[in-house]
Amino acid sequence: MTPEQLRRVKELFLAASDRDLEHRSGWLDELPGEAPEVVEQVRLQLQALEDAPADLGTPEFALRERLPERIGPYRVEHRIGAGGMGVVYLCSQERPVRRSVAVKRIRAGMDSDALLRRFHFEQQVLADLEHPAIAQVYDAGVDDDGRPYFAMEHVEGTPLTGYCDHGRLDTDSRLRLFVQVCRGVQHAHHRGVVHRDLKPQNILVVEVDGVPRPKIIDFGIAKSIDRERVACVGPMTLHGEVLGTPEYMAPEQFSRHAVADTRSDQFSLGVLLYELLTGSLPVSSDRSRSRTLGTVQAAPAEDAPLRPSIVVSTRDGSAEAAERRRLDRRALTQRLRGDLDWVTMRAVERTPERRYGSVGELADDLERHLDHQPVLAGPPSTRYRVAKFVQRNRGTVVAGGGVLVALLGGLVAFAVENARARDFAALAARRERQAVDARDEFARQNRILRGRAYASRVLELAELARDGRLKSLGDRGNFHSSLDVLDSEFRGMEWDWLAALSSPPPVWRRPFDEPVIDADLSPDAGELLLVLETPEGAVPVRTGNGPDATLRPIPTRARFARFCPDGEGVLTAGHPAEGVTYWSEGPDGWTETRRCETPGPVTAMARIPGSDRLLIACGAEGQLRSLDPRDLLLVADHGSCGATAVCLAVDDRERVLAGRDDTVVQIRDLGDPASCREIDAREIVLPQNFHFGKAVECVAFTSDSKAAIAGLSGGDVGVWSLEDGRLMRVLEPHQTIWSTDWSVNSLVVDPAGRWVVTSGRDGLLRVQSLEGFGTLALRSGGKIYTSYGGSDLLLAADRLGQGASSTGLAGVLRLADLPIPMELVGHERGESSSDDAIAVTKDGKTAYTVAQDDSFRMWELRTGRQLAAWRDTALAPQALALHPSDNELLVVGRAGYGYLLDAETFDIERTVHMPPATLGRQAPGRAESGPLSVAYASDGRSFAVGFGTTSVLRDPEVATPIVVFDHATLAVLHVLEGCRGTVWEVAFHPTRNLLAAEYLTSSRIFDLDSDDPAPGVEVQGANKQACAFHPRTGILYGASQRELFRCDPLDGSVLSTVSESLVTDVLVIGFDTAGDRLLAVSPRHFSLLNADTGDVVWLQKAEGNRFDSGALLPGGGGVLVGGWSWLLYPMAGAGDAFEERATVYRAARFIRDDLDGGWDKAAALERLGARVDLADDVRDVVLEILGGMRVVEDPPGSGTTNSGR
Amino acid sequence: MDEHSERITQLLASDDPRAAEALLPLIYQDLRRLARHRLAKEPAGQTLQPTALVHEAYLRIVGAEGNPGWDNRGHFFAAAAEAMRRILIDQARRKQRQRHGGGATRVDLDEVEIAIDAPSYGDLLAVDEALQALEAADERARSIANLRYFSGMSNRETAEALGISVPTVEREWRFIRTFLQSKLGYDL
Repeated sequence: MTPEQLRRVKELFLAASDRDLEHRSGWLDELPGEAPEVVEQVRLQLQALEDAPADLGTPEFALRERLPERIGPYRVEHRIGAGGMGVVYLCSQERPVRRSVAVKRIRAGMDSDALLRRFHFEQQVLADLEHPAIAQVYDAGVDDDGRPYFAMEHVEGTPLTGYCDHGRLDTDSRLRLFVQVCRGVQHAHHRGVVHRDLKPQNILVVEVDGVPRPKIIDFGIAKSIDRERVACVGPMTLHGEVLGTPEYMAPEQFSRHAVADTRSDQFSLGVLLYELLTGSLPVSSDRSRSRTLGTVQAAPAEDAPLRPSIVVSTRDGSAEAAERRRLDRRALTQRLRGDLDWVTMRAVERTPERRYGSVGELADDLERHLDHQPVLAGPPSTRYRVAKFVQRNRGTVVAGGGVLVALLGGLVAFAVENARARDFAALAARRERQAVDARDEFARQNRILRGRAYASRVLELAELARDGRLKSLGDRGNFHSSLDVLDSEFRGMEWDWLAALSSPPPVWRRPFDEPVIDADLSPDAGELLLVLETPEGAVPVRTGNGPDATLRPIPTRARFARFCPDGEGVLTAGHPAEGVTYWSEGPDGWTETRRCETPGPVTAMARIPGSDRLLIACGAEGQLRSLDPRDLLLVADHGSCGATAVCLAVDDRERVLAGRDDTVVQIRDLGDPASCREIDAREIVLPQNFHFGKAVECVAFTSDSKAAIAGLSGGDVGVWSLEDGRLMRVLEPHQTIWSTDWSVNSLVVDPAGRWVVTSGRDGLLRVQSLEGFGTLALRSGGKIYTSYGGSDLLLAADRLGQGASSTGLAGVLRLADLPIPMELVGHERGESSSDDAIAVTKDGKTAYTVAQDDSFRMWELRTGRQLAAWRDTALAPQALALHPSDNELLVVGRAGYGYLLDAETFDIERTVHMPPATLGRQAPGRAESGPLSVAYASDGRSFAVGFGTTSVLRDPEVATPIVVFDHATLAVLHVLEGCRGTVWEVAFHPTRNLLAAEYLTSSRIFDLDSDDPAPGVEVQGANKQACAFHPRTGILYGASQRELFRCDPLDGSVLSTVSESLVTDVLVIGFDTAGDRLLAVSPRHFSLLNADTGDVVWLQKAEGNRFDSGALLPGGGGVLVGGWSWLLYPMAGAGDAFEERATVYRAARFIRDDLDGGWDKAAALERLGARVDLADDVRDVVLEILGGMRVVEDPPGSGTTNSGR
Repeated sequence: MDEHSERITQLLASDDPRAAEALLPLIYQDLRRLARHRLAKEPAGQTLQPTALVHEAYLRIVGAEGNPGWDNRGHFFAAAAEAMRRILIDQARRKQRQRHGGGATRVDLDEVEIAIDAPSYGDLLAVDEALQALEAADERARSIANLRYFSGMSNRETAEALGISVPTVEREWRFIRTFLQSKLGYDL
């Protein structure tokens, strides 16, 4: 068709499409002289328009899905709806039962094996949820196009709020329905599943025999699809829009560091309760829609929701709302006032800690209310409790009251008889007694509950501390906050312990009565200068490097103090003083030796390392001047840099970086005043933060002077190339969800150039890799203002607290002492391809990795240097294994073959071909993922290759092959077809010719010496996810979702459980050569266990990374993990601290679980004595905790030894 | 504002008919840079939405408050949409290529992964091919298709970007959509 014809087609089509449907074709036929192909094309398009008349005017993405015929085993009937994550279809299932199911197919974008695998785990968790209030998830899988789907119970119901309003349910009925919903959510929470998108549309009410039953749909789906993303960056899109339903989302879900947990669900339920009770939302839709990262945290007080009773009595439209609840407005107000106000408001508290501890507690409180018991959420006034007592004992009290009225009447009308008077007095006394009893009982119960809450919370915090999560908690700045809100009545030694844990590990530190606002370390690191902010002004002080050194205050007021490079004098400058002053210290104290005047106070100063030049910025214009620091003579005037807020950094090429208050960083060549380039740091600031986040607070050159780092007043930190001004990296910001007091106070680059240390007003000291993922955050407890790095020492100074009551802290730490992981930088897209993605030589010097960028690489572990790399998109390498001799490396890929490489030269020497029979099994349409796991026999004579498959759900009959090869000849020894589903891992027994394989849903052991090794022996214990033979004993260790087992290598029976609870979601397990330590890698953390006792000796969180695979270095030198980035964690220093934490953890757990919240010291000691199984160290800690615990006799909050602030 | 953005701003403000041509490589580079930057900031496994990228590119160059120097949104969005199309098509081609060949080499790929909800990469290429036939006859249809299809913009956004009315966009899109449908055999 020619362009002219096409234009004609368009003309005719548009003309025709404007006509009525029935007139179109006739009109088309009557057109004279049109080319037949033009008419045909118009007809085709009109037909298409008729088929899909809906205009795609909606702002959804332009591409629509075709209605699929089938999704997995389900036949698609029609489309039910579409949501943010995908499209929901009504489907019919034929086998094993005939039924209608709702199938939600997720959008494209989950094609990595690791993701799919996690998706399967999640599915198993969801399948475990069985509760009448939860729509059952039947199945999940991956369709032909590789898109995951969930098959769920098809619920035909009405959204909860609509159901209640339509049926005009009264408040009690609404509450009862709501409690059922809570119970469902509680059930899921107990199984570790969080909904994250609870809203009326996800809670449908179905009537069963006329009785309404709520059903929660979409449980856990948001999380399983989105959890990687959400856990890392929060539910914000690039625009700061919120994914999900803002009206029902908890404030913390809007955060960049979203930690959606059970309490976020509780918040959503609170909003729902609010809506059910009042007919309106606590925060108006407009406002919640406009909530974004910045605004949520800065939400003003007026954003706090009104109490339900107040809303009902004041808001327009409440009359109808009341009517729908079968009450008038006044009666509804009455109904809500008190209990329901309190319960609702507690559930929608902005701070998670102030909400109910669990959804169960919320439901309990509502049930208490329905039973006329006092609710915990309420203020325990006597009047309230007595009122409740009266309601509960209405019969008795009313009877009493009736007597009373009669008596009073009698008093007025007749003379009082003595006997009757006595009755009256007795009655009054009884009432009084009952009231007192009720009060005491309440106080007792309340105390027990508060004690329990305290214990639970302490335990949670101890668990976090034990998990090594304090770093990331510190990131969010909430560990201290969490400690602060704990009930002071119960605080004891364990509280002090936790408070101490969340502080940085200094070489030394020293508290001051005043905040420390500037600090400098002398060139030899022997002395330091601090500026203390006293009520009389900022006082510079010189002192020795140590916690007890004498303070020698300099008699002046100045904002900055720096050592002069001559090693003798001290330079002071800055507000309120004008100019720069040189001070000499003599036996009689300080003398002002010289002085240099400046136009206005100095606003910034910097020194060129190794050079006699001091650079200052001063005056309102930000004038840049170079001074000689010895004689303070002006060396050069570099003109004005045009802004008032400046911070300076100077590199050895005598270039200067100057930050301004408008996100601009200037680069000036000091030798050439005309040279001035600018970097605009705007691109790292979220638009909504721009108004307060744009001043450049500090700048630094990287140690190679090729890049500039800038920290902004909004807490953002970026690295820009000085060659082309390109943004190279965005570092972790200094922003917390707990306050908007953000800013980067200082940044220093470590001399080796690998790390940048930033400190911020959020109270964190961050050590961040300039190249990759490694990040360490240390919490100071305060707001770090300054730090300075000289050699590997870091001087940190804090301002603690606020306003007049603030104090200071200064200390020196050694960078080398910090447990900073080393990153192996090289894989473009770092995810490891499979469980067998890492191999380490026995000397622990060399490692080999394979990642999803189709490359396999060789590393020198001592330095983290990459030695060699291959990329092969045709092979698509997925797994590797090292021959026991460490001489040869086997790499296999999705394409169905592999290479044997010389492990030293990394040259490809031989090609390993899979037997055609195994490849031939890949029937058309089956998306095989090829060889996925490999292992060498310990004698090195043979190796095994396990296959991956994604077709397990579609093609359930076909087993997935494992091929065993002879290493020397590459001949195929066995083809094992034991089980269906991907073979995630294969492992050889250390001495026998046994092969263990871990499939998607089970594990098997094959005896390769037997005549018919297949199908092997099934390993007992639920759902293995990882397995490995103990190198010494040959016992098979297997990890399920929640447990680690020891299994008999011959019959597969479970011998014992290694570890419970803490080690979850394990993907890979491995041993050190001696078999003393066991490494278990999960996506979010890895743990190192004592292989005998199962004690966790080290638990490392992924800290924003994600772990896919890992290996324990043979010499015990560390743990190498693969994931988004590849990190080598040094082992040193991890051991003792974690042992200690583990002890306290066990003690805390004993207190929570075994002491039953009684908080009766004597009874607790008795029970402690009865427990013979507790280790002595744990017993000691329990005693210590009990001893330190403020028990009933102590006045509340007295004698708290450490307030942490 | 860096030199790069400066140059884009100048080109956008200029009346030179060749400006649009000069604009394209700059915006192309900008979008890729943004995408890379996003990938650097957010851990791997992230996908990028075309609409968000284009909007962000716009915000970055124009600023949140709007640049007083020019207000030629149309140029920008048309160029950005074309750049986005090229990026997506490149990506689809690369994906297709990877599936069929290679060999063990050391390659430095500069990969940017952008999410597209297309049924498959093959479909994406087919759509592009069909659109090329349309482009010969109707340039505006091309711009609209780029904005609607490759940049994921709504009718209203498309209308704003091109400075035409929403009903016009709706009519044009109706034609484009049915045209593609007749060529591809299914609804988009």
